[in-house]
Amino acid sequence: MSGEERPVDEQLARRVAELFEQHRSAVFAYLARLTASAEMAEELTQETFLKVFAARDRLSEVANERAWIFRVATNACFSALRRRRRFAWLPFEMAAQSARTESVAEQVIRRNAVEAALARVPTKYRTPLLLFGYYGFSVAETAAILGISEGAVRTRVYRAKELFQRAFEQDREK
Amino acid sequence: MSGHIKGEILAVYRDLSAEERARVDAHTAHCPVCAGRLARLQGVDAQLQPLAEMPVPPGLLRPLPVVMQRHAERERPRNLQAILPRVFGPAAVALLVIVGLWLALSSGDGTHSAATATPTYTLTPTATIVTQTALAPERTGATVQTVPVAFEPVPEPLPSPARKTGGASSPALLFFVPLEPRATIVR
Repeated sequence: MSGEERPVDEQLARRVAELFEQHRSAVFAYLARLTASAEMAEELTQETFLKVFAARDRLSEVANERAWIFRVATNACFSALRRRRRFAWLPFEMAAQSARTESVAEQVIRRNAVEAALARVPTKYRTPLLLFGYYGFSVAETAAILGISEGAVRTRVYRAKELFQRAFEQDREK
Repeated sequence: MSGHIKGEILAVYRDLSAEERARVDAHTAHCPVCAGRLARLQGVDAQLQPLAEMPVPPGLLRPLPVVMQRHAERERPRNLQAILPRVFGPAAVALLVIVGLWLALSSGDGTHSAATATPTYTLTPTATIVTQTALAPERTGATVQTVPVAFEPVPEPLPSPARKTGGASSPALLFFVPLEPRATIVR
C-alpha cells in the first residue's frame, strides 16, 4: 500500500469502527430475534462487521450504510441457519444444543409477550416485519436487504402482521 | 373505489406514496371494514416499538479491532469443528452403511437360495403314537397303534453366524425336530 493510500485506508477502518459502535446493539438484537440464540447472534454480529471491514473499500459507494450492514447481517444469518438445519441431526450437534444454558437475551424473548409472539412468526415473515415494522426501513430498503421485490415485501409484511396478531391474541387467551 | 383495499397496501401504509395514501384515506373515511383493518395493522407497528432492550454480550462491547482479533483466534481451531461434521458426518454414514452391508452378507450362508428358504416336507412311512391310555393298556384294554402320520412341514432353521459349512441343512436333521402328532387313535 502506498503512502497516499494508507491514510484513506485508515479513514475507512475508522469509519467501520464507528459503524460498529453505532449499530452493534441493533444488529445483535436483530440477529438474536431471527436465530433465537444469543450465542449465534454474537458470532454473526462479529462476522457481519468483519465482512463490512473486509469490504470497506466499497463504503464510498454505499448510499445507506445502515441498510447495507443489515443486508450483510441478514445474509450471514440465513447462511448460518441453513448450515444449522443441515447438520442438526448429527449427534454432537444435538448434544451441543441441549447443553447450552439460556442467555439473558433468550430469557427476554421468552418472557416478554410481544417477543414471544414475534418468535412464533416464521423467519420468512419475521425478517421483513422486523426490518419494516421495527427498524423502520422502507419497503424499498427492505427489498434490497432481503434481495426480493417490493411486492414480495408488502405481501410478507402483511402476512407477518396477521400471524403476529394471531399469536399475540392466542398467548393472551392462555 | 369499489370493494376493499388489499391488505398488502394497508400493511405498509406509512411507506405509501402521497397519492396512494390519499386514496386509502378517502376510502377508509366511509368503509369501516377497511378502517378497522388499517387500525389493526398499524397497531402491530405500535406494539413492536417497545420491544425489550436486548442486552449486548460483553464480547461485543470491546472495540472492533479487539473483537476482530479474538474472532480470528477462535476461528482457527473452530474451523476444524465446522469442517468435521461436513467431512466426517457423511463419511461416518457411508462407513456405517458399508459395515452393515458387510455384516448382512457375511452372516449365515451365502449359498442359501430362495428354494431352501421355503419349508420342506417329509413323510415317514410310520410313526408310533403313544397315548396316555396306551401307557397302561392292561387297565383300559387299549392297544398301541401304529399309524401313518404326516409330519408337519418343517421350516428351514434360521442360519446362524457360526455356521461355516455350506449347503442346506441335512434332511436327516428334520427328523429330529420334535413335533406334536396331529392325531391320536385309540381303540
